[in-house]
Amino acid sequence: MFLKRYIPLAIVFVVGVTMLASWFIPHSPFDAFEIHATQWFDIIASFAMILGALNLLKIQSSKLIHRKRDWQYSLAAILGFFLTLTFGFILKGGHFLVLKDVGNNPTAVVNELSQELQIDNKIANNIYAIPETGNGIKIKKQYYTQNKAIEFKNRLETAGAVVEVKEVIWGGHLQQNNTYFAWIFKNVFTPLSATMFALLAFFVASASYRAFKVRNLEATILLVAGIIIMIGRVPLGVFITNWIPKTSFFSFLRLEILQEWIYQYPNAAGARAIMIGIGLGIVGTSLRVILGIEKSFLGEK
Amino acid sequence: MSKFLENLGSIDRRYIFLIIAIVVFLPLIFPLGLPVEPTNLTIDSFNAIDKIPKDEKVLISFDYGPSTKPEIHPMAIAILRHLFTNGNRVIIICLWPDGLFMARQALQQVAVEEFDLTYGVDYVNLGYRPGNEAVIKGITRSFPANFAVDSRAIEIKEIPLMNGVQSLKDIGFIFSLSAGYPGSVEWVQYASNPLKIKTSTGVTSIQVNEILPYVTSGLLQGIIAGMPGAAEYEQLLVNNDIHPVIGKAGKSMDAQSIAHLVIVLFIVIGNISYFAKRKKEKKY
Amino acid sequence: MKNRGIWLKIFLLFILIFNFAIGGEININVEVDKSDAEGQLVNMLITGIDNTTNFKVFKKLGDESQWIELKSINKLSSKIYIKNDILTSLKVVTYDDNEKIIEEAISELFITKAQWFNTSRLAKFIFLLVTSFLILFYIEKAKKKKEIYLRPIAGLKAFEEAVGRATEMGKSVLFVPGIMDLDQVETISGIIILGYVSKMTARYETDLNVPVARSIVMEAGKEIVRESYMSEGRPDQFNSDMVHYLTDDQFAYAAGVNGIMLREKPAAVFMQGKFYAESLILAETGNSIGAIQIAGTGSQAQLPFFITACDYTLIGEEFFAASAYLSQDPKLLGSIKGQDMVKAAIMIIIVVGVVFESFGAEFFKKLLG
Repeated sequence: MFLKRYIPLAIVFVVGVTMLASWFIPHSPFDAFEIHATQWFDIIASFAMILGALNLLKIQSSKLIHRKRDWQYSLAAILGFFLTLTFGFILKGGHFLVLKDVGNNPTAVVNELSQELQIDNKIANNIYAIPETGNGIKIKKQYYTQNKAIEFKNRLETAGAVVEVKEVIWGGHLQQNNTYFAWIFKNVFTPLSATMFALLAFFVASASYRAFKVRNLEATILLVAGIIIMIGRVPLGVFITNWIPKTSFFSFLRLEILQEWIYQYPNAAGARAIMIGIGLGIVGTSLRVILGIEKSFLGEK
Repeated sequence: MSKFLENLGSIDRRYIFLIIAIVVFLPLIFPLGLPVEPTNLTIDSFNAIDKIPKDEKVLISFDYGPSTKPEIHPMAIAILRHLFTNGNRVIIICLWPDGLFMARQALQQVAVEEFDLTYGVDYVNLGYRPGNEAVIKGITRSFPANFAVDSRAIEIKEIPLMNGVQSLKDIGFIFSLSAGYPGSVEWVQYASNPLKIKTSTGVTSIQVNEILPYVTSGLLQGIIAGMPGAAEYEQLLVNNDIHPVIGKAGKSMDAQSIAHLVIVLFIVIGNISYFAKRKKEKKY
Repeated sequence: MKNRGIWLKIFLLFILIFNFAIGGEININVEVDKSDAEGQLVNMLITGIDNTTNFKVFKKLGDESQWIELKSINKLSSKIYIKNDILTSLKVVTYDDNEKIIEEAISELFITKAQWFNTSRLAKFIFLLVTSFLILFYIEKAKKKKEIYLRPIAGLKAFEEAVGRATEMGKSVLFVPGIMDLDQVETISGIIILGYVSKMTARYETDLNVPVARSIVMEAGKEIVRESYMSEGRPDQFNSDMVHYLTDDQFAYAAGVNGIMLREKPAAVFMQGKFYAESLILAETGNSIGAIQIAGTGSQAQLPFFITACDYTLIGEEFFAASAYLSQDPKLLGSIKGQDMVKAAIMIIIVVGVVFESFGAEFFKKLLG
């Protein structure tokens, strides 16, 4: 009881009150407490991700092994999981070349380079300057496989250059181009995310068709305001009421002006009222949790 | 006839999806050239950015990912074009991990290909840091403590643009490209309001409602609202001779216009059916 | 005597002209800005030169021997941020066109300290105290068995109806606690509501499926569901896989939940927590399978989507009041009453503020900070 109830409640109380106090007290040690607490939470959440990943694998593997209904989806989930894990922790890609010396025939080296990537005067001058400066230049092209990089290296060495093949550093492979992780991000994750978001356009249409009915006065006002905003927000609204002069008394009837007024005044007022209510709800819930009045998140009555 | 009107209210949603797909697709192939008229919210944002003195550094936060790229990326491109044309220097950070890729793409297109600017002098990409609003709170005190290196692993003290930038207090203007949390709200709460730094934002259309109170109360200087806002900003760049042609957002507005019109038509059809059913119920 | 007086005046005039010619003595004044609660702001004023003079400002912290240039300072009057609790001095150096030093001046040593209370937040502190007092006051009142009336909320009444419907149809209940982590108050509220729903599913022996987007939420959810099943005397019915993790990513999570809805076709869908753009995707899919849907969120931008697509929606405060409503615990009911009193006070303040602003009296706005 003590471990399960009183210690968690004490922790919640102490941390909650300290966080509240730190917002009002700019003197150390309170000034940095808010930042540290947020960072602690992020670290804990990051480690907790392992729990989530293991749980996902356990459930999907169970479906796959026991050939439960729709086990094929579980196979896709597990394959996707391990593939991304491999590209994140095992196979990097991102091989690149460092040109250490141009040899006796820098022009041949530049020609060879220009066949593989775009060389401008600035880059060419840097290449010619290597013997003087002694500085190597990183060639701005990365390869997924080491073999491809070595192939290009051999061509440059035939032209007389001294070249070294390097690999992007761990961590950097998550951010740079021509790594396997970047490939999955660009060609799999990005289109899938954009597709899911694009579904909203279709769902908005079907939801509006089903829900916007003129049942009573409030629904009618909502409908009319909604139509004005929908048409007024887009160029079609400008096109429809373009014949009303901007400087005339009736300029407020121009759809783009009307929609902006609705957005900025009645809509913003309503939004503010809901925000105040939500803010109060958050304050009330937080106080109840900090003061231990609300204990059900611990599983207590 | 009345049976037909009643049935109008029960169109299978798959037909609705198909019609929406067609009306969105066709204007992309056959553009209508509908005029884009900038609204006050976008004009306020444009003016705020236009007035930034040349010697002030601008911080842009890329807080969006691939799912919201169609809405927010055109804004990012337009903002960068505006700032670089005016000679402002730009510091980029990302509070979303995906934001780093978005920032890279935007900088490649604008800073490298269009303006041929020098990295580290005219612009710098400090990259992504985990921590959500803790990052914002951290950089109000110290940039080096939170961004010891940039996205290319170059130490921050070796970047000429970061000379004299000890904290957010040395920044003249903040622009948040936001698709959710963390985003504009956190920037207002933890940076622009406490430190009184001028801030503007570009958000998805869904978020505008949530952010609008901050705009009307003066905490944000204008707002670029969704793809229509991005199209308006592109139009403002054209009107002010900053960029000669309208961008992706402007070109997509024809499709969005027709889609909105079709949705309104569906609502009208739904209501016709509703009234027909009500009439029948009253009759019996 | 007369001649000496004239020569003295000429000499003094010469000194005056000479001083004007060389610009006078350069000086740098530093004053700690008391309005900055964090204590790091100082106001610097350079006198004796004008804006056309080339100058640079340097600072030295504590015992450091090197002066550090403040490159961003280019005005004679500037606000500068300094590290707290270290003796600091500033130096101004003027240069000629060949970058040769002409003159320099060093300020007196000063030290900045953070305040113990941020006075600019006094109004918010008072609000916090008043809110806490009102909530505690009404909790105490409720404890004395005073009946507290809460208006009926259709969405909350429908909880039992929804679980009952799923039981009758022999289908499962799907509970989505939002997509954010446990650091969000809405997620905590969602988890609390999960506790009540799981008690109902335990009682009626209905299947419960809780896909989550965060690992910590998974663990908290498992714990609360386990406790609910134990308190209903059905520990054998509990299965830890009821609460399972899908993915952190917003739209991947939406895709996963959609898949669960379309494959398993739950009869009741509860969406209680913090949502973003995926809200309409979830709600529309739930609508398409014919499930009864009860949503609740404090995400103001997502409320219209839930209201459009769901059967019942808990709007804003109703969502946070759900735990009090469902438990009928006097302490929780009392806290809701206290919250309502605070809301009444805010409404009065808004009306008074609007009246004052309309008549141009700004003191009320300034009073509230």
